[in-house]
Amino acid sequence: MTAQQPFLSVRNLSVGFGPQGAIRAVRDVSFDLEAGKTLCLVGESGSGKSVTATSIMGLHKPGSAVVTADRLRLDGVDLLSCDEARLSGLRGSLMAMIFQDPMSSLNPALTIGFQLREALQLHEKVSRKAADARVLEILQWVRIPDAARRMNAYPHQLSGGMRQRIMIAMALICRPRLLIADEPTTALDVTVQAQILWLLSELQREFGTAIIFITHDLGVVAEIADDVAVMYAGTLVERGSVHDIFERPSHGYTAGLLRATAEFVPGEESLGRLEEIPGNVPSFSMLPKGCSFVDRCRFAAPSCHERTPDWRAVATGHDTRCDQLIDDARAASALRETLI
Amino acid sequence: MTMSPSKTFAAMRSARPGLAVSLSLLALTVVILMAIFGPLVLGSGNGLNPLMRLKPPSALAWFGTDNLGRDVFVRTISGARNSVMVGLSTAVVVLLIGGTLGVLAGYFKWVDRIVMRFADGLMAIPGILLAIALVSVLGGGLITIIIAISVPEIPRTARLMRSVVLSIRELPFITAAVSVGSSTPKILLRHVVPNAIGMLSVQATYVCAAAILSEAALSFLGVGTPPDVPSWGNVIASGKEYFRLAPWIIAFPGVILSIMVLSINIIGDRLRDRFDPRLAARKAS
Repeated sequence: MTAQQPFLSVRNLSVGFGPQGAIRAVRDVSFDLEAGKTLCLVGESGSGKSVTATSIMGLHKPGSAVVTADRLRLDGVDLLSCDEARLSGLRGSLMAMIFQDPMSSLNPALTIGFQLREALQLHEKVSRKAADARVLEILQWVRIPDAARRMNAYPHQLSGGMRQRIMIAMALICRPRLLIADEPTTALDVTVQAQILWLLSELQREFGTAIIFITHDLGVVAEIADDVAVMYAGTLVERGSVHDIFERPSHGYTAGLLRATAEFVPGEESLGRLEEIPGNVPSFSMLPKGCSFVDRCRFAAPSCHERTPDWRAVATGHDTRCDQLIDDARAASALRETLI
Repeated sequence: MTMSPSKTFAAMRSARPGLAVSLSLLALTVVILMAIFGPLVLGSGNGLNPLMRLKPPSALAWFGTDNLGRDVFVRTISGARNSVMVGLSTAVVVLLIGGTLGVLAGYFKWVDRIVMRFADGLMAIPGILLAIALVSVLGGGLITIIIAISVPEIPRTARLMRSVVLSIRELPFITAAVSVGSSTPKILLRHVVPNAIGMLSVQATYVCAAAILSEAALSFLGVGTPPDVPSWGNVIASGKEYFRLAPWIIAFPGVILSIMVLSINIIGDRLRDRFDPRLAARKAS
């Protein structure tokens, strides 16, 4: 460990639901994130990405989840030891979150202006007039056309893309230092998606915000990520820089994900059949012995059934929990296949 | 005629959706104005006049007279005041207490356990029996009647609000509000209650109508409004023994009571349609 603490540091985060937290939806997740960087959490539905995010924010309903970690520290604050009142003060000011569904993430009974003003006044003592000015400023910053008039609009009067931008404005109005974006572009069409991604990178440039971006869209990952953490069945299976992950995928699951991505090559007639990863994510109550991906893995060896592989370093800052793709020759052949 | 009666009715409804509502509003306004100003102009209608006993409706007494020669029209109008008072007060009391309990029960599990067990207990007793028991314990009078009618209504409203809040609290915008740092009281007041107001106001109309009926029932049974204060219930009760001789004593207040309750229910239905999110969404898009 270096002398300087990382901005966000997560060590062995586990989250359990049900009686005594018996259903362990997230197990031993560890990662660091520096200020001004973007970490993409990648994985298919049900792999625990969102649960990881809501645990950092402390958004689980009281009594519904058991969250444990060796360390969960953001900007020097130990989030696990915070009580609800303290967390409430941190949410919105130090960390904020935007959600997948812009259609239902705004209160339908209140105007946009009211909701944004409230988000601001929760953390800063500002007059009504000053608050309105700030709201107008942030609305213009997220490129809401005709912002002054839109402040009096209700959510249902706006389009999905505009609502997502309002959500972003709401999350950003107090300039949080960590922004968690939970599939913010999944519900939007591609052109709007590009605008939102651009907006987020703009934000990062301007304020040095750290971003955790949750997605299953590898195209988006290539666009915005600095670091990538791949999740499968509640655990991290590989983490590294975006170049590491795309150029030398070192876990069977990562390689499978890359193979399952459509790539359009100009000049070629068709894409060919899109490769899939056979099977489904196993249920948390019946994870296979050994590596949890073993039943779906193309590279599985007998030893993979025996025990869960430990973290192994592929290169500095690039770790994997796979014994098979660790050696260069096999990884290279796996990569070649992803490019076919 | 090629259309079935129900189709005709549906066609009528779609052609004039506002007619029933307008008529209801008109009826309500007339009754409320009567309730306010009627007794000031006409008096309480308690004056006995043995010479005018059991006279049918005439220019002198529009709704006829009862067995003591009292003018049924004057007594009906005077009774409107009592009914409107009971209906509105009960609605306010029930909404404030039942609504608050329901919102809290919907949001906090421990409140839920306590409140809902009490509600289950109260709902196991028939409302009118409970009201009779409360009146006999607390004694007669307007306030007692309002309490007696409110108590059986509170658990129903609390249950309804609880279920509304249970579904609202799971909506993403509540999580979003938490994620920008809203505290629990703020979430309840700014995000949960405004989205439940629609259901609450619809419930208010039903409680109001039910309270007017309950008051009439209690008075009819002789445990409601004291006999010296006219109410629709005790006017009808006083006429029940002379029903064959003088049906007007029961008929006129009965009809007005029915119109009043029907009007309130129609307006409640209309409100529910207005607040239905699906209809609102259709209108918005």
